[in-house]
Amino acid sequence: MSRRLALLLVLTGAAALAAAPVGVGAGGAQKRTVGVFDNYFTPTKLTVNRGSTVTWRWPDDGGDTHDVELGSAPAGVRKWTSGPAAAAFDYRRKLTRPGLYKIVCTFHEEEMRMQIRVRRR
Amino acid sequence: MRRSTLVLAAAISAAALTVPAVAGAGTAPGYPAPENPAGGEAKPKGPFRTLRVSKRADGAYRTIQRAVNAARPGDTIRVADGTYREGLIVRGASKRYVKLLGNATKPERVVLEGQGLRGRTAQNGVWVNGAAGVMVRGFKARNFRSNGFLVTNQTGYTFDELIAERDGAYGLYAFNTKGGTISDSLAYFHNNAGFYVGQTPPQPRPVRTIVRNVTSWGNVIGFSGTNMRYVTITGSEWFNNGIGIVPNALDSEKYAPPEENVIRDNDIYWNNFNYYAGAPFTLRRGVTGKVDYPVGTGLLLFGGRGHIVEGNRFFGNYLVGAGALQQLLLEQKDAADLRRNEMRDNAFGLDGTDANGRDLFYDGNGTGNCFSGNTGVVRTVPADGSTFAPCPFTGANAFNSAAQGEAVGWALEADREKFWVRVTHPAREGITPLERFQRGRVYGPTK
Repeated sequence: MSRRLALLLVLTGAAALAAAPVGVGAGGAQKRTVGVFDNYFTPTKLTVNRGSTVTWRWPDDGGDTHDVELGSAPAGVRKWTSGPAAAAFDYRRKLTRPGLYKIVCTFHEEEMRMQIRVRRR
Repeated sequence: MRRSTLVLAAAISAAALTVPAVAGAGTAPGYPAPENPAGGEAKPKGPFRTLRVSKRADGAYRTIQRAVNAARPGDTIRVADGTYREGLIVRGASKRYVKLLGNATKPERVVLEGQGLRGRTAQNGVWVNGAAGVMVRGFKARNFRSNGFLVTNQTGYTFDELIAERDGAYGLYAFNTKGGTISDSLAYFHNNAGFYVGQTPPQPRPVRTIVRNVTSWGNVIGFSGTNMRYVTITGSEWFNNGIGIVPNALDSEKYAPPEENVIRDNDIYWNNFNYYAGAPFTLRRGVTGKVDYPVGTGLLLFGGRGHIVEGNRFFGNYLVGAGALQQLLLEQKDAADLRRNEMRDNAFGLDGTDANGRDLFYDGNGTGNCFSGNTGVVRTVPADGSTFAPCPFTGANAFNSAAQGEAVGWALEADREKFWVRVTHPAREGITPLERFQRGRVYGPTK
C-alpha cells in the first residue's frame, strides 16, 4: 500500500469518525455518537433524521459521575435517563418523533447540556 | 499590575485553558428547572416482609437485585455473606423505607464486586434514587466504575457500616439529598473523594445530614462537599489522602456556595498522598485536567458561608493544616466570598510532636470570618497573622493579596511537594504514612 493511499484512508476514516453517520442514504436513519466528558457533552448540538439512534459514550478513562437525562422533548415522548455512570459505558436511544430534544447531566446541570433536533425524513 | 494580581490572573487563565469550552450551555428554556427531592416520602404502614438473599440454595433469592425488585415499601432484605457480582438499583417511591441489610459487624463479608461487570450494573455498587428513608447497612462495594454507594434526589437515607474500595469516582456519595446519615463506614483508594455530599438544596427548615465515625484514607480527596449545606462531619478520621476535607463552591452544581456545615472533633492528619507520583488507581480526567487542590492539606474552605470548624486535631499535613480561600474561579461572583466562617478550639501539631507545614492559612477574603482558641499554632500564612480576626467578628476581614497569591501558587505548582515542610511522624498503630504509593504496604485499615 502506498503511503499516499494509506494517508488517504486514514484521513477518510478520521472524517467518517468525526461526522459519525454510518452508511445511510439521505433521509434515512442514522447512528451518531455523543461523548460524555467532565463536564460537557460533545457535540452539544446535533441534527439527525427521524428514527436515528444516538449513543452517549463515556470514555474508558472517564472521571466524574454523569448521567444523560431527557429534559424536554416533542409531545408524546416519555422521559428517560441513563442512570449515573463514570467510565466505559454506552447508552443508546432511538429518536422516533421529530422535534427538539433537550438533554442534561443532572449532576452538572448548570453547565452540561445539549440538544438534538430530529427532522422529518 | 501587582504581582499577586498577576498570579491570580495566571490561575484563572490556567483554569480557563484546562476546562473545556461548552458551546450552547446557557440557560436556555426547556431544560429541567432546579428540583428539590420530592415524592415517595410517606412512611408505609405495612405489613412488612423480610426477603432473604443467599448464594446457597436455601435463599429465597439468588441475587440481591431480584429481592430489591420484589420488595414493597418498608420491607427488609437480608443478604447472607458472600460475593455478589451485581450493582444494585433501588429506585422510586415503591422502594421507600426498604432496609438492605448485609453483615453489620463484618461488612467485608458481603461483597458487591464490580470487576467483570458490564454496562449499567458495573457503574455503582448501590444506587438509591428517589426512595425516601432507605437504609443500606453492612456491605462492601469494590471496583465499580463510578461509585461504591450513591444516593440521589431524596429525603432521608442511612448509609451505615459500609466499606468502599477502589471505585472509579467516589466511595460514598450523596447528591441532591435532604438529610441523611453516613456512619461507621470506610472508604479508600478512590480516584476522587472517599466521601462526598454535593448539591444540597437550600431549605427553610434545614434537615441536617450527619457524617459520623467514618474513616477515609488513600483517596485523592478525603471528603468533598461541593455546594453542600447543613452537614455535620464529626468523630471521624481523615488521613493519607491528597487533601483531607474540602467544602467547596463550584459552578457545575446548583446551589453554590457550601453553607452552614459543622466540622467538629475529627482527626485530620498526614494528608500528603502525592497521587501524581503513583497510585493504586488510574488517574482519570477531572482530577488531573484542572487546577487541583494542593496536596498536603488537611482542610480547605474553598468559598463557603457559616462553617464552624471546631475541636478538630490537625497534624502532620505537610503543606497546611487548615485554610480558607476565596473561590477565585467561581463565575457566580456573589457566592465566591467567604462569610461567617469560624475556626475555633482546634489543636494543631499534636502537642508539638507532628507539625503541619503551616498550621493556619487565610487570605482574609470576605466578611465575618474569625479564628479563636486554636492551640499549637506555630506557623501561619500570612506570617503576621493579620487576617485572623478573633471570634466573634463582624464586618469586612483584612484581605491579604500576598497570602492569596501564595496559596494560588501552591495549587499551580507542578511539583506537588515543592512547598511541603516534611516532618517525621510519631508511629500510629496500623497506619503507614502514604506519600508515594508502593504496593504491598499497609497504609490504613481495610475493614
